Amino acid sequence: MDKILRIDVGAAGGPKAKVEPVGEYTGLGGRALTTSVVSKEVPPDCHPLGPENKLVIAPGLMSGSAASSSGRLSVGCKSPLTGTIKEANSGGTASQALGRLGYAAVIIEGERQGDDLYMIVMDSSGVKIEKANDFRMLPNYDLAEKIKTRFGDKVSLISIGTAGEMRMANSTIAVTDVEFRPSRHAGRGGVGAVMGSKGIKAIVVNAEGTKMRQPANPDKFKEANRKFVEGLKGHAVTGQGLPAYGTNILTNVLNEAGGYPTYNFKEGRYKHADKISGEVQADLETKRGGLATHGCHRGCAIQCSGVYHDKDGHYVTKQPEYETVWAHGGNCGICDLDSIARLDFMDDNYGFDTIEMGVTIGVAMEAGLIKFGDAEGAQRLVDEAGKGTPLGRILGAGAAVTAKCFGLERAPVVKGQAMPAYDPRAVKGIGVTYATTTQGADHTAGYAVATNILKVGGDVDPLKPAGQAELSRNLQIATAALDSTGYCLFIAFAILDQPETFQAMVDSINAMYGLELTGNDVVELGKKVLRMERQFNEQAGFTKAHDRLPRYFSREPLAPHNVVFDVSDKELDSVFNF
Amino acid sequence: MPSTEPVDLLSRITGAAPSLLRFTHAQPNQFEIILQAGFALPVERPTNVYEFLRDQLGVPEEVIQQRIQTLFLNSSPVDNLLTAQVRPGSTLALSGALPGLLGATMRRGGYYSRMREGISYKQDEPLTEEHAKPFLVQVRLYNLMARDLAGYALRRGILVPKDRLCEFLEQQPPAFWMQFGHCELDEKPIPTDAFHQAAWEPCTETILLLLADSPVKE
Repeated sequence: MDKILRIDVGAAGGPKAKVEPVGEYTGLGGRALTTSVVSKEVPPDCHPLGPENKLVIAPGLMSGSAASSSGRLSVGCKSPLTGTIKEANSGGTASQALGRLGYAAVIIEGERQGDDLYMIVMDSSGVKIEKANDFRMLPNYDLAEKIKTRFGDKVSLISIGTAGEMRMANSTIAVTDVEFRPSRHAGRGGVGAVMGSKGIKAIVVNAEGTKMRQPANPDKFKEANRKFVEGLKGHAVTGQGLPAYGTNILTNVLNEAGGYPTYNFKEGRYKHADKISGEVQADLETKRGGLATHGCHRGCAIQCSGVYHDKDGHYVTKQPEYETVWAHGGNCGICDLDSIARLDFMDDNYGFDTIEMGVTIGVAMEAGLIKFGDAEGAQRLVDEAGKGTPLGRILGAGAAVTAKCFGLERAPVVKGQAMPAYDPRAVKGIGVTYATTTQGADHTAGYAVATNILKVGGDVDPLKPAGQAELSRNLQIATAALDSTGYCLFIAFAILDQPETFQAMVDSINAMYGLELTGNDVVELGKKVLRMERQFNEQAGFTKAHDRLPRYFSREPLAPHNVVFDVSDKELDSVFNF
Repeated sequence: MPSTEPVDLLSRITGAAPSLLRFTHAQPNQFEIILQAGFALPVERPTNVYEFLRDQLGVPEEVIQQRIQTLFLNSSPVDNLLTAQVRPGSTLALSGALPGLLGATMRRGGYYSRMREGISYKQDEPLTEEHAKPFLVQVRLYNLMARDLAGYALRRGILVPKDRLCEFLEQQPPAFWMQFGHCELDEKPIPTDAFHQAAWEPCTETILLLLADSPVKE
């Protein structure tokens, strides 16, 4: 991955492609690369939909190689939803394809001229850009069908749905999976709107005729990857729990803990959670001829996804993730998996982030627009958003805007972005991350749990109580580093529990690049990424006052534990003291 | 343990025996969905969680130590099995290892357990003599624990609402029914290809499910 593709959408005569050496961004991948480009090349005070913003699409360092579970694709820009720097990432096949074609990044920049839509086609012979006005206002699945008739189903598609075209603050960038379904999304922060603002509807990545990226030291790489896969398959989470149930394995447990936000974060437990649990979902998928175990890209040893069919055995959507089942299910009082699966499909099709949309509908329910539990009403609202009706435009702007329009205080957001499926009053450490992350409320920002192995923050005694801020800080650093590799965050548990698996991961990176990285180097990379992001946000006008949860989380006790979020401002402000 | 023990115990707790469904089934883990929804288990006397698992449920030591990674007692994550007590009114939930930060946070004695300190299990008031009598404990077995511990729980005898049991059975495919061997409801043999709704009508509102290792009739 030694080159960068820049698309200047403001060039005379239409967008122009320029391929240049990776240059100063050498050695970076994924989030480290998107953050570096945005920090260096985007004015922090610019409008996210203006010509100064850039959309950066970057495969992880290991993408395109034979390394298992390394197909994460990072998308960076200034966020239309939060106004902060943004990195959203996705599974699917595109990261591997871009890596195999040798691209470290695709950067879309400049000021769109006119109203034409364009499609970028990348293959081993180069890059072509063509008008794509026939695709105007096509949802993602319809678009994929049209692309398939021309390019077949072995290419990868990166696209926006109608939400992105309408430049909605809640809009995703879709990536096709191994069945060429646009079911994987860089979901958070409205990255689709930035792609829409540049007039790019689709990027077709055809890696046919290319080979996997070859490691600098093939023997060492092969051995490291073998140990890595062995570690993933041998661990109870990555080898059993995730393949059997997917991420929705968490529903029952969060609900049991009283940390499952329900009815727009009013309560911590949903009485019908057992009807939408991962156990029931996997059982239903299997009985209907779908799949409870499936990979979002080739070469993943975990296989945490699945395929959801309706009662007649027809495809509805990929296996809805825990956060989706929560957002559209428990948070809205909806306990019908078929309705939730349908909402997941609609979100993917129009190009909405399921977390943001589910929380938005929860807010709309609290506002009295429809009742909690109204599954048909929820689908109607998503339809309005996807079609861009006046009400839909409000909903498509996200939970914070919707709450403002309907005069509600209770918008569960930080920096304008909806909170995911963990109530910060019950799990305060996650609340610290929601409050302080550079991304707006984000559960994945502090996810890479192997901080003790990495020795982030030094040798912390696990038996000695550490502060919530210290734990959150270390997690955010480790996550920023892992997000740069292309490795899926789900490897985290295996590398936490099994030092040999962690070492195998580091060895695989070293063997790929001929490096001698240590855990310290990984930690430094994470810190560097966070410092750049923090600095960008400060220059964009964000202060400590933005690193807070909405006040009602400190005021309204959450049943059943009747706890409030009581981490002090002083502790929150100490998270970024490195 | 004699197979009639849970019936006797239930009679002592509730004053009346529930309907009893005794059966053999080659794949007890296929009862996973009903186990995750929850059931009641009769217990002789209050005990700590470790002894409850080992002595009441009969779970082997290595499964307790290695497989049961996450436990909740009355919704609070448990870190020490020896100090957490199962007593009248208790609800116990068991889970295998879970993904992500949440999994690490909820995990028993885990590195990140401090992140949920506000809801962690804290020592109950000491028990008195008054508590030393049989009672029902509510149990929920989640994810891999439902599969791993299905046989132990069903052999011990679990109490489930009749409606929930009927709903569960109605949703089962032919492969599930083929795993049944002998089956009897309140000591009357019933066909094992499928249970007819009529068979349940005389039953109590809750039913004791009891897995037998060999043909039921002795």
